[in-house]
Formats: sequence, structure tokens, C-alpha cells
Amino acid sequence: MKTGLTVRIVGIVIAVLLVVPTIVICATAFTSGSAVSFPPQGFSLRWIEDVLGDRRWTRAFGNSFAVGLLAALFSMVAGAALALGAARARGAIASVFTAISVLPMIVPLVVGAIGFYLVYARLGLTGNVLGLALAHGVLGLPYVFVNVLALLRTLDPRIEEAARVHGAGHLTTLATVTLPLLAPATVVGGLLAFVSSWDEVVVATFLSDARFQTLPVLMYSQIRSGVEPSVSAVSLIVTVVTFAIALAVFAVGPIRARLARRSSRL
Amino acid sequence: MSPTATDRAPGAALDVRSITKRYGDTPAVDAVSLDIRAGEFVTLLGASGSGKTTLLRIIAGFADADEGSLLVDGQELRSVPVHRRDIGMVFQNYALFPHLNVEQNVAYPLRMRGMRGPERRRRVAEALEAVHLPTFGRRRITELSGGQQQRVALARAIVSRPRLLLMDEPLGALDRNLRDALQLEISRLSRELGLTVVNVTHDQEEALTMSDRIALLDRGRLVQFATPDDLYHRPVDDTAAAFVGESNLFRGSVRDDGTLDGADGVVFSPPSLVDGSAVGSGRVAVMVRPSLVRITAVGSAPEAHSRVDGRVSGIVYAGDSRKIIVTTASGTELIAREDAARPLDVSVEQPVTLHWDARSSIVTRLAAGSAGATAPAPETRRTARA
Repeated sequence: MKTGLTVRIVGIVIAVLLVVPTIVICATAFTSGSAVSFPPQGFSLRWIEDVLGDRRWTRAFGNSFAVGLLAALFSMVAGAALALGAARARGAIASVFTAISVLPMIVPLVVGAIGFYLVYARLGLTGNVLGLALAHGVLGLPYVFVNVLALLRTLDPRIEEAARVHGAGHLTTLATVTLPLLAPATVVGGLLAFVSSWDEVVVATFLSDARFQTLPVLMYSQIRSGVEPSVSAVSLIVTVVTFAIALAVFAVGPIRARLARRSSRL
Repeated sequence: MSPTATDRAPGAALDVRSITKRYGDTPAVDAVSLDIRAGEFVTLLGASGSGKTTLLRIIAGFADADEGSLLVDGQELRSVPVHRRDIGMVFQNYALFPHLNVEQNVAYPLRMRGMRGPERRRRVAEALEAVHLPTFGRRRITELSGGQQQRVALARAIVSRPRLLLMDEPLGALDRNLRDALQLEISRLSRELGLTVVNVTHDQEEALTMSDRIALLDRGRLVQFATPDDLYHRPVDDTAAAFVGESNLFRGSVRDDGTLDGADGVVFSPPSLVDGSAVGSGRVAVMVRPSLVRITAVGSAPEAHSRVDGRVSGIVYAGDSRKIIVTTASGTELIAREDAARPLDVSVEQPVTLHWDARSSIVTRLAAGSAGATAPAPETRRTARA
């Protein structure tokens, strides 16, 4: 009983510390006043409307979304390929694949950001979607790699043998059996890569310029010139998108099951 | 599937010629040759480590042999990549494609062969019909029981009418009843379709039930390639005798008086029946099936019978029959199996004589290098036929 109570109290304290700030900032988005305050004064959607009508914010939103999608795509392709390599290669090569794939998690972010900046500046990859998407793709790679590798380790090798013996060459086996089986893990990894790109501010700051900014970068620069309820409104939007994706991660399994049932044509 | 004479695609003949596969220095498959006829059902039987699975994987193309050749209808198979070998295969754990439904799984080999449209649908429907799952096409694999999954796997393996059907312990993951039902079904189907089947199992009962011929393998070597009847009644050596069915084995040299040198005072009568020279060497193995052995009080065995004395060390009931274990003076355990309906007239610790008609003795040579040292003790063998 006593330990049960202790655990409950610790749980509540942690929840309060982690969740309440988010709730507070999101709640202030609905204020009808012109200052960020909690509890919000009155209720209105004016700040949200304001943000949605502001070209600076909508363009940053578009940039973040494009970068996130492209980054997720890069992560999925590279992460799945490296995981296949790590699972199938032998000895040292497998270790090299694994090392490459987990390195982005280990290198201090700010060091990586400076590195990206130095290299990408020469290649003309700063101040545009592609450059930041590549950098975020690298940062998101471990999510895909770890997810796909975990699935590969549990995959019965005889399923691929069954494909080969029944007429599929190596590439056809990959396309018709292996990759479809890895798809759920790859998509989950990709969604996580998107989320990590969506709120990434350090690398994004280095690779952005006055004309190309993502949401977190713009928010950060806005805060430095004073907190306005518009920032709260953007926070709300950013959080909602992140939550939607988190829900999608949980939904990947059931959705696939339903799709498979529907696509029962030959 | 109701094949007519025209669309029936009989299986190919498979000639396995001294196939050898080594892992390091030890041969996993040691110069094995099998002439498998078109439409024949052959089982590779052996304990784990006998090389049966390795040989099957070499035929499938998942592994390559170091030496030897594989001829399918006279054409070398070793240089043909796995996906062009025109093989159907059933795996132990089904190995169905979990992201495809039943129909799509069965259609896969046809899809890979470029067949589409109504023809493909018809063939898939026929194959599902043949395994008694005609209404299961739209089901997901995860919604099926183990037995149903293995039927789907069977349908997938036969749908393209392959030249060879390979089965890797196809019934190993199923429970007893299901196993018996599927055994019969696989036999029926393979005969109806004229398929050439190479099946792998460690279950001798399954091998004896389903096969036209059985290839018994031991430590990579082919011990005997024969019909179930021959393998059971005419084993070529003591390894075959010990592996197939329950047996009492005596090894040694037969002396002039009919006793066996080094074998617990067994007296063979008449001695001429167990003449070692008849099998080409002085040392032989003599096998007697437990069901042909009688048990009596010491001294009351018929003169014309072969006999050995011992002490009853255990009585085990097994359904219709009763197994009486007798230990000889030197500690060898022998088995007599009698009808459970007969009244029991011996008790544990009682000295008895085991005796049998001389014609029940089967004399075989000793396997090269075995000398009986590696053959399992008789009481560990299961009965194949009551």
C-alpha cells in the first residue's frame, strides 16, 4: 500500500513537471488579451487566426513540413538499407553499418550542426529545403535503423527462401516479400524521424537564413524579441501535429491489417 | 483439383549422384546417391545431424554441394539458380507470406511465372480446393490455425505443378491427430498429381506411412534406400535395424555351436541360419523384433528356438501391447512385446528365458565403423508397427 502510494505520487509529480508546461503554453494560445498569461484572459481564436493568416508563419510551417517529409523519406531509405546491410553482412562490415547508423545519435548535436554548416555551405545546401532535409534525414536515420533491424532479427529467413524457391530472384524477393514485411517498421521509424525534424532547432538554425526558416527557428527568433500570444498559437499547432503523428505511430499496425484485408484481390 | 490426363504435369525423375557437402573437415552429406523416379514419394529419414536437411537444401538450391551432380530428367540442376529450378516447397513452420492473404500466397508462384488473370484465379481456386480450403481465399494468414496454414503452404507448393515437391519436416509443428490427417492427404495429393516428392523427417512412422521409398541417412552417409517393407524386414545393417522400428540387436561372431561370441550367452538354433559367412564377414548383427520374442520360465523354451536368459527389469503398458524389459547377465536390455490382452505371467525380478523362432532372426552386417557403439539402446526406439 505504502509503496503503491509512493509510486503514484512520484508518477503524478513527473507528469506535472513534463506535461503541465505544454498544457499551459497551449492554453495561453486562446487568450483574448495581447500578452501571454495564465490563466488566459477570456477566450478567443484570434491568435490562431492571426498566425494562420501571417505569411511568415505559414511559409515557415510549409518549410518545416517539407523538410520533415523529405527527411523522413531519406531516413527510411537509408535506414532500411543500412539495417538490411547490418543484418545480412558478416563480421566487420555489419559493425560498420551499425556504427554509421547509430553515430547521429551519439555525436553532440551542436558539433554535428557546425559540421553540416561547414560542408553544406560549400555545396550550396544552406538556406534551402534540400540541405536541411538531408541533415535531418541523417539525424532521423537511427530511428528507422533500430526499428527495422529489430524486425529483421525476428523475421523467419525461411519466408524469403519460400519466395525464392517459388520463383522469385533476389531482387524480386526483396521487392515482393522483404520490403513489404519491413514496411511497418520503416514507416514507424520514418514518423519518428519526421517528429525529430519537426522540432529540431540547432541544426536548423545553422542551415537557415533570413529567407528560409522552419517553425522552431522562427519561434526561437520571435521569443528573443518578446513573447507574444502568436508564439503560443504556433506552439499549439506544432504540438497538435506532433500528437497526430504519435497517434499515427500507434495506428500503423491496425491500419495495415485493415488495408491488407481490403486489398484481397489477386 | 481434379486433374485430367492433359493438364496433369507429372513430376520429374531426380538423379542424385554422389552428392558431398563438407562443413570444415566433416562431411555433412557424404557421397549420397539416389535414383528417384518420376512420380515417386521419397523420404529422407535420419536423426538430427544425419545430413537429411542439408541434402534437401542442396536440392532446393539454398546450399551448393562440394561434389556430385543433381540431374532432373537428365539435366544438371546445380548450375540452375533457386528461382528457376521449378520446385514447390513446404517448410516446417509454413513460411507463408504474412503480408499477403491466402489467395495471394497461393498465387505467388504463378505470379512469379508471369501468369495472370482468369487462368491464375482458376489455378489458385483449384489448389485451394485440393487442400480443402476452397472458401479461405480472402482470409489473412494470422487468422488461420497451424493445420490450415500448412494446407495453404501445401497449396502454394503444388499450384504451379512443379517438377519437384520438397518438404522439410512438413508435419513437425502439428499435433498428433492433425499430423495423421495431413499425412494421408499429402500422400493422396502427391499420387493424384503425379508429383515427385522429396520429404524430410526424423519421424520413422511418418516415413513408413507416406513413402514409396525411404532413404535412411546416418552421419551423412546413405545407409539404405529401400521400400518401407524392405527397410523394416530386410535392413542392410545394424544401423538400419536399430533406427527403424523397435529391435533387439546382438552383435558378435557366430560360433559353430550357434552361440554368439560377445553376446550374452545367446544361443541361436539352428546355427546355420545365422552363419556369419552368409553375410560376408565373421562379425554380424542379429536382429529380432520384440513382437516376435516369447517369454517363459527358465528352461522351458522349445529346443528348436533361439534363446537367451535374463531377469525381468520392467513391465510397461502401451495401449494394445505390453512391453517387458529383460536384462541379461551382462546388463544388456532386451524387449519382448506381447498382446496386452494376454494374462501377465511374469513379474519384475523374475529370471526368464526369451526365445524366438529361428526364422524371426534377421542377420545383417555391421555398419562400417559402428561396431554397435553408436547405435542407440533398443529400449529407446519407438515402435513403428504394432
